[in-house]
Amino acid sequence: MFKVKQMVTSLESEILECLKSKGEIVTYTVAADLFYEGQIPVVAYLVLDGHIHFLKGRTIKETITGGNLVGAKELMSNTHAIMSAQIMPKTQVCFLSKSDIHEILEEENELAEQLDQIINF
Amino acid sequence: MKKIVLFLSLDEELMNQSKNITKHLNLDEAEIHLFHCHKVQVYMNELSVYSYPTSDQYPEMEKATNSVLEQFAKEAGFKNYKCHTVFDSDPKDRAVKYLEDIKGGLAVVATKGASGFEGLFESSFASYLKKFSPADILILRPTRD
Repeated sequence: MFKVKQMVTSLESEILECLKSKGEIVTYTVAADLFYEGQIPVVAYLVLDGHIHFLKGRTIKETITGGNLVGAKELMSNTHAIMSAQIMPKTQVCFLSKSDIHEILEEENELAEQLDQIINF
Repeated sequence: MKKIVLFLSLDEELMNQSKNITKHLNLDEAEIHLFHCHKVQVYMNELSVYSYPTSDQYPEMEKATNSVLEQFAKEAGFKNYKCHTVFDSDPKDRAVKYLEDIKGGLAVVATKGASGFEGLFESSFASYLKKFSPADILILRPTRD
């Protein structure tokens, strides 16, 4: 549980609404691997609806739902994911690329402050 | 020798516009890096998740793109140049990284001009470079008629 918490941040609805306007929203129709243990995520995933499983090997250690940001710290600091993440069908996520996050952080507003805290926590 | 990175789109209009770099700079003493990044897209259907291009398509695409860049360099009259074709899901970030890696002295990018309401929006690539490029930037705007 503790390990998953390192990779996932629960967001307030206001922050989530602001963030989702900054990236590309996708609804997965099939289960898919988002990233593997040991890999640096290609983007950060803002979970809007549905479920994402975190796995160590083949064992599901934790499942998260909408309202969470996944992999932002790893993406921005180029660190390896400590678990694999698998997205379930009908899950809606917003992809936030490194450049999207850089642009948000560049703005001097509350969203930038909040995101900065999340990434540097 | 100053390293100048020319970020090229494969759009014909923008490539022609990029040739205007020779009107602004003396390139005799510069090393020109012609850089193009193909965006890697992830998409899905009912059966699976795909990314395009796939990694086995990279060599062929790299070869084809580099030949376009080579042709461009010849037409522009460049002498000391290098072609770099890369693949990334985040071309803007990759461009900034490239400038940092080679310690680029100048970034050059062509943008499509827009008038009126469209003019309120500028190229997001050029806009990103303006904020995060470690090097100075030359933006090549279209010639006015």
